Amino acid sequence: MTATTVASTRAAPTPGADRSRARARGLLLLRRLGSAVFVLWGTITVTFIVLSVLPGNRATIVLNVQSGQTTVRTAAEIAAVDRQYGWDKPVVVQYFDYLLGLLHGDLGVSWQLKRTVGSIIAEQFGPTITLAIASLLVAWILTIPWTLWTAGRGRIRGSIGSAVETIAAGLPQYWVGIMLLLVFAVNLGWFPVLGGTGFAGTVLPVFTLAIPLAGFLGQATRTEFDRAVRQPFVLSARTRGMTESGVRSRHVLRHALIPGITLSGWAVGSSLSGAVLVESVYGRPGLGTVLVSAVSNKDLDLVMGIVILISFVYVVVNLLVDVIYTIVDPRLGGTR
Amino acid sequence: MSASAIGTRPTPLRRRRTRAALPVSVIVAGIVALFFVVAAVFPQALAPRSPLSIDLLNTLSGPSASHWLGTDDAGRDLYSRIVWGTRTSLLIGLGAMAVSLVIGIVLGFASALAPNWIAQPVNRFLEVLLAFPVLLLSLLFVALLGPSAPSLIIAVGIGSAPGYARLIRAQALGVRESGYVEAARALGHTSRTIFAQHVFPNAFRPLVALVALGIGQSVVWASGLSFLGLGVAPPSSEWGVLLNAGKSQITTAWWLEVLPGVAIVLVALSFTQLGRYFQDRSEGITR
Amino acid sequence: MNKTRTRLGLVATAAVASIIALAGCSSSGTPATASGTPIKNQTITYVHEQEPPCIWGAWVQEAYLSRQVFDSLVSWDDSGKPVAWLATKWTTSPDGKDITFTLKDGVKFTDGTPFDAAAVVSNVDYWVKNLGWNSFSYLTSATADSADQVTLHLSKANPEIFRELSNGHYGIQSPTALANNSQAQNCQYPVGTGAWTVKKWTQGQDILFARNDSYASAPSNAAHQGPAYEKFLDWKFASDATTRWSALTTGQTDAVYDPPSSQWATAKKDYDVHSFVTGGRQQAFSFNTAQGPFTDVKVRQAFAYAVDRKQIVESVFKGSVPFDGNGSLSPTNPDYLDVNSTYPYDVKKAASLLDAAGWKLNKDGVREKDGKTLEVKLPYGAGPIVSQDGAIALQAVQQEVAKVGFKLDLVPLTQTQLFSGQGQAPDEEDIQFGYWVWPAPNILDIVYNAGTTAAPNGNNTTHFDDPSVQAQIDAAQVEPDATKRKADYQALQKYFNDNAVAVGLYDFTNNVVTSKDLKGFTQDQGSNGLPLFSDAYLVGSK
Repeated sequence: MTATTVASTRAAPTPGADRSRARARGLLLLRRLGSAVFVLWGTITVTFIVLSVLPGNRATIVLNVQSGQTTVRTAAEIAAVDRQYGWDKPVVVQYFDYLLGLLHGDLGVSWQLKRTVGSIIAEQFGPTITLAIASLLVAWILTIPWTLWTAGRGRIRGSIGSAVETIAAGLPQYWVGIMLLLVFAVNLGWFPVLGGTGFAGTVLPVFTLAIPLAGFLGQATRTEFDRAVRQPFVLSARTRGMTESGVRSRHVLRHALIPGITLSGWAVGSSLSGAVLVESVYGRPGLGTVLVSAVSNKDLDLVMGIVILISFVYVVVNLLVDVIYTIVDPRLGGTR
Repeated sequence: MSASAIGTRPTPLRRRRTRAALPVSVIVAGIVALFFVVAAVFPQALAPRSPLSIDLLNTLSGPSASHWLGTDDAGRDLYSRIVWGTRTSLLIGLGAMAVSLVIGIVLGFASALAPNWIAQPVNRFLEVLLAFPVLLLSLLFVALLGPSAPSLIIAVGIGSAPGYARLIRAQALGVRESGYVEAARALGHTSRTIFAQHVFPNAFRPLVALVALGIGQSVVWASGLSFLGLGVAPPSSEWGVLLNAGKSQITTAWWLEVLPGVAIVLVALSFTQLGRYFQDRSEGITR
Repeated sequence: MNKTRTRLGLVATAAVASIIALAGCSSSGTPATASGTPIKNQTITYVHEQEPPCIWGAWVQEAYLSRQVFDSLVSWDDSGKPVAWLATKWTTSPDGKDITFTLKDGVKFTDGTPFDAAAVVSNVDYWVKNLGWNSFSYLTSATADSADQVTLHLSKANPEIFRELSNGHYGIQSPTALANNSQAQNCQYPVGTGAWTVKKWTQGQDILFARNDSYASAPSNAAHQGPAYEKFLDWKFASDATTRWSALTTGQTDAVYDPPSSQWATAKKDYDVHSFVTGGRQQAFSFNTAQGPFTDVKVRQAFAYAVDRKQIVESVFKGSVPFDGNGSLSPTNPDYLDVNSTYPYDVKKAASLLDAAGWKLNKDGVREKDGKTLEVKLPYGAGPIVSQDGAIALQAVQQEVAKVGFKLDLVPLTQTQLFSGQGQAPDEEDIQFGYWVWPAPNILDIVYNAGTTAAPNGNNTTHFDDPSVQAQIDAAQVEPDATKRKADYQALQKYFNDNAVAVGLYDFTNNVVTSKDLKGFTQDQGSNGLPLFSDAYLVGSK
């Protein structure tokens, strides 16, 4: 959740004509867009600065990667490469060149893969976002029944529920990956070891990310669930004669989901990071693997392209989270 | 990583104490946590054998009376390696947690409470950091500083700081608007007093459980970087290093991968359990 | 904990059972013939470790891929001689600087361009420009004498040029593609005359090679002429050894690169294993002879005596990789000298050498001289250069040298640090550890040539600088008489070993494990052991 969201949820609904409400809504939208553009620009700039100050001469890396050597290079060799890629220009000029290119929709070329960044991203984005979104969905599918079954139902169930969540949340992702691989792919043979991007190959990677994530979502949901159960409206619903399960699933759960939903925006970002490890365990294509090698080789254009994309996804997901938020939280409903 | 307690809402401080007996889970968690704390401070008391002593004639032997948890591919005693690795792992966990908390507190409170000309830019900066892929931050810093415990601490700490900052900001905003702060204001307290006595403690308290969980998570996160070859240098027996080394033996010597993982889970679980207990106690909730 | 243990134990038992069942199956399925009936036009799946950025380039990982798509002028044979491939015969000028090749007739690149002398000339130009280390082959240019005859020019005689040309890096590409296609196309979808063409490269996953149906230019030492038996070659990537191995045991792939060494015994029992020790120099310790404690020959020798290198390699690699004591040259290269019996494990000798060099033990068990402790730094490229097993071996070395009073600091470098040349300068290291794949004995020139002050030779990891020795290297590599050349090279290897400028640890070995259902798999003999699938075919259950 971005800071603007916090601000906007606090904005009191202005009573008045539909027209002014529509105008306010339009303004809000503009502000959101402006903030999104700012965030994108900010991530680009931060990445650019960090990559520029990162030790390790880029031209040396290019020369060594292309020749499979690890040697120190002479000034003449370095100068030639710098000239070839335009790295002899001042960093500020390179920065504005990059931004200018970006405005024309040009993400640049990866020196490492010798392809346009756009084409690499187009190829690699699908598997990664599939993984991220599917694991978020599966995590929710695991979390909701688990919470309903264990939360607010006495100490023993609660402790078991909470212990399982804590364990799940504390599991190292790639450790889960290796365990699932060992049991379900290597020994039971239910899934392929090297699955690629098909359905059968996606199941284990998705669970690898979903299990720890479900632990987090479960913790957040349970904390809120335990609080909500003690709220006055629960009592009033009960006195209205609502069944216990009805109260739990209709009223309490609705409240309890809010922190988890807020968390989902973060979760997508985290899954994109976790995807790197999972892709490495399962030999799966995706942005993660590309990003690690791009960072290692200071393949600036490629790193920037991926950063822009991930930030973009983050912004979009958080907008979605805001929308879902208003639907779920009865206290916020209607005004936006 | 930082997220588990996002749902916690600022609760006014209550001074109600319950005299309930310690729950069993807390006692168990306390014993486990104590074990690891002792392991971190006095490893030789728990594992007299050297964690680095290589025995190439006794590699990959399973758990037995002489090697409780078996040996690794260099014949080193896994139990000793886990015990001696505790210090580095917990230091990384604590260090990363401290780094991210300090950054988080400064940025979080600044964005919530500072005058507009400070709060606005800090806010924007936070937004940018939040949208930044966490892994990339870590990757950049390890690539920048080389693989070592300090660079892991900084990488993981900075990577998780934005989450804490956001959380603290939300808490601080909530507390600022709450009735008792308004009351204190009406009573004419200075803003410094209000911050020190009301806002900070109330905004910070919900983070206690989170800190405990965060330590475990930082260990996990650091081990993930180890997996990518960006961890602490071997032959250190930091748990991430152990997990990373164990994966190539998984089909022959499961203990090398499973047991260090269990150690991580135990730390995460016991610390979280304790953190949650203290948080509940301070809020006057018994479970 | 107990529960986990039992469960995993059960699972492991199940795995063993299924392997036995599998093995039983395949042997009972085809009882009579060892080779079985080929099932053609299928897909062979192979899982490799590292994914390079391009099909062709100067990195050895790229040679693996180039070899599938391109043909070379000559092929290296098991007999230790070059044999005809795209060139049918060749002659060397008396001064050894010009080699004239007669080219095979009627060969076409897969884009339709005919293969001729002009094509070779464009490729030579391309190599000279793009292969960073090409100068060590002394190849400078080429001229087309006629349509089917081309002469390659060298800056000095190089009797081993054929070993180099048979290498995957010197594969011939379509001159039309080189001239007209984009860099990206030539990187991902280059055009050759080879047995396979690149059909689809999915970065991070696999490269799908399709059979070149009109292939008619197999090397003369290939098992068969004409197109490959199977229709596709699915070349997957998985950086994790356990993942690769598991893909093989679950029957998902027909061949894998480098299994975990703990599985080597199983691999030998249940599968076919193929090992090739690469040419060049081995995984060796290069001592810094320019600066620091290792400028003293006694200290270098003490280090070598202090380590039971053979035992370490045997224990760590479990037979998958051999020990090699020669730090200068690989056993695969011609003129190799076996020095495996030198510097046997001898702690006393190591201690007395250090005493003699003036390094005395202090109370912490570390040696000291003139107030400085014997702390030495060993940076190494963890991952791309030194595998996890290699790192274990280094840790064992660390423990053994500590017993005689060395404090050895292992400094793993990230890929960024490694490729940006960190830990290479004389003041940043005391020992370097790594290999260099190269087909010819002039690897000595690559790794011991000091270069000039303006352009020091970065490959010289020992910072060795002795003009008289360099003169001997220069003389050896142009020596036309094979017997004399061998004697010269062996004398040089003896010199470097006696002075412990560099001592070896283990051979850089390319291991491939194939399923019993894959027949006809071979490794290229031209110094890299590149896996070859054009003669391979599937039998049995598929």
